[in-house]
Amino acid sequence: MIKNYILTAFKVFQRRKFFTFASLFAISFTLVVLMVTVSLLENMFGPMPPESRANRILGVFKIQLRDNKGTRDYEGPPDIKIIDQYVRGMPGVEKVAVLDSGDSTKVVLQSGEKIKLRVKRTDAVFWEIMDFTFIEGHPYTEDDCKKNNFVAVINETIRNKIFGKRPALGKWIDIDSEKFRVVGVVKDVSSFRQIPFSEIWRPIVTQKQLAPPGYALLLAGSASDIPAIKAEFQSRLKERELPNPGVISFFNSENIHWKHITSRAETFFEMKTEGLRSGSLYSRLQGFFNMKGFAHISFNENPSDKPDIENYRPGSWVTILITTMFLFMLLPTINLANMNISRIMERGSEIGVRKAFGASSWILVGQFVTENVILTLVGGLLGFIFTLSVLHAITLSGWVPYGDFRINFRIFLYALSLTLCLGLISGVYPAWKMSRLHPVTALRGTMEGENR
Amino acid sequence: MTQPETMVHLENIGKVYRTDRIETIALSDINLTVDKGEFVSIMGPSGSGKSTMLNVIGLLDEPTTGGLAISGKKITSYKDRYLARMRNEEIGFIFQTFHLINDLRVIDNVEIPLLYRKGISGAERRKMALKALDQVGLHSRINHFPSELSGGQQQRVAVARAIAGNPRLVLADEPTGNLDSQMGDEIMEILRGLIDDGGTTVIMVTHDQRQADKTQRVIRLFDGRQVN
Repeated sequence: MIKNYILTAFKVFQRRKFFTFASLFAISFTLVVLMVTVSLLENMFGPMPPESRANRILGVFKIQLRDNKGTRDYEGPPDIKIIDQYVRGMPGVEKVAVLDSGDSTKVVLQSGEKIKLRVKRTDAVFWEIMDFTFIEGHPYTEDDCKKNNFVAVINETIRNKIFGKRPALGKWIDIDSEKFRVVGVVKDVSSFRQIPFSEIWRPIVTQKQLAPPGYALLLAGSASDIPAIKAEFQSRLKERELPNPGVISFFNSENIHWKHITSRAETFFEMKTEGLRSGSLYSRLQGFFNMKGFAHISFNENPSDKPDIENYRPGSWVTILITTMFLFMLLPTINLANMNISRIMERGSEIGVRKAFGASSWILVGQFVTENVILTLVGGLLGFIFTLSVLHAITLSGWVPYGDFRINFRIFLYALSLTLCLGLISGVYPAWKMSRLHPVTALRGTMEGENR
Repeated sequence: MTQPETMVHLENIGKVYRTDRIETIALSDINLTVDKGEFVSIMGPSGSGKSTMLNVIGLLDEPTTGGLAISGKKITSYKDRYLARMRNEEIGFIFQTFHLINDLRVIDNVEIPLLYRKGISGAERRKMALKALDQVGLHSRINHFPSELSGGQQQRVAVARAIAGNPRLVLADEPTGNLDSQMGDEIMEILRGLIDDGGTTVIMVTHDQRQADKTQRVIRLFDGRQVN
């Protein structure tokens, strides 16, 4: 019977070319948009190296300080004393790493050409929290950081650019006129992963104050410890005094006495989506892509109307995202259902004949749903092929430095499930409606009339 | 002398179509018995209830009043699945406008009733469909599409489809209505053959007195009532 369904389905698709084209276009276009979006989100948020442990990681990226008069404030990354005072030693935290936001620095190639590369300073613990894939060597050590050794880890692309795909271990690179010995080469990391992303990593000098201030990364013992760590951090901010508030050199360059501190420990997802919180759609999107959640230093003169940094919950954004995707799927689903009703209505005589010769309503539902599922699967296959092309084009465009957009098995499964849902939802209602047609009415070819 | 087996028995059948405003009596107090192997025609002017009566007998329509039995089975339930099974096992239909599925080949059209019958393999289905096509003389056209056949050939395919599942009752709604007289005669010959060869019962609606004369009994309807 299935063979007969499939045969009929393909004949119907051939005969109604415009309907078939419109359906396939709607299905494949929807899936391309969804799969590209999911792939971008996966590249941004998905649990993949070097952020495989993202569900156990919190970061302190931003603090807000206010002076004792309430007339000035500082908003930006914390410094090492703040990190020592409030972040280190919290229960449930296994490791704390310190890093800066990275800089664009001149690097001299072997040819003598100078190029600007992103250089990030991190401590040794950073490499324990993040799971980079080393293709050569290893990360620098705590000792390298203590002794301020001139060593560096570089990414694969930079190695290829500087050393022409040859091993780089032990070789020297010229960063800002200083020679650094390469101790490791890692696989490229997409610039969507702002925290681990860089092209060159070098040790941070943790003994002194960070200049400029940096970020703290915390690795929790387990994902379930995260809420407790956040709460502990908040209570520490309230209970503990600012370390030597008059002499925090970086923050009080103008001898401002900072009095009040607010901050939060947040997940990567919370940090990355913080930019979406307020303002117009444009400024939200700008905030999102510029990583508003990532601290940028600012001093303000009249901070009184600025809200404190409170705990931000991105749950509503997840809901909005899912709702948007659902609505995006709903449009072609309704459209497809509508087209299916018209298509099936044209087949009233066939419904009547099949009923007359013994097809029950449920058998007809099965037939029409099968036809629709076949159509959506073909549309899904086309959508999958188009998505591969679009993602390949995005990767090649260089829009996202080091972005490597692919469809992994998980995205493929999402897409397949969505396609099947689309096929079922848009097929079941019309099929059910049509299968209930009274056989005499169906044979007459007029679709009004009582149902059975 | 043995009593002939009853194939169709209608008792006080009435059918009323109701809308919000009007009530139309399509059939009123119809009593009819058709024996196994009988060839019966139903005649009457347009709107006299011929097709409605055929639909009621074919379990495509539910009577408003009265009861019926098909092949000795009293119809007590009008549930979709039960009726579908009864139609599939007991009844074959032939329509004036053929109602072939244009997207399917001749052989696939003829196999339709067998698709819905449990326990028939693909090979058996094919064998039964070929036998039916053989009976109507269209064995050589199995891979054609309906649009590639003449009207008479299409109606012969429709007859083959009606008899492929070996139903005991064939209901034909003006089977020659869309055909010229020669093709109409050919179809009548085939229907006649069903009765002679296998004892099938045929009930046929027709406007054509010439064709009705070829049947064993004529039932006349007028305004939903049986007049003979």
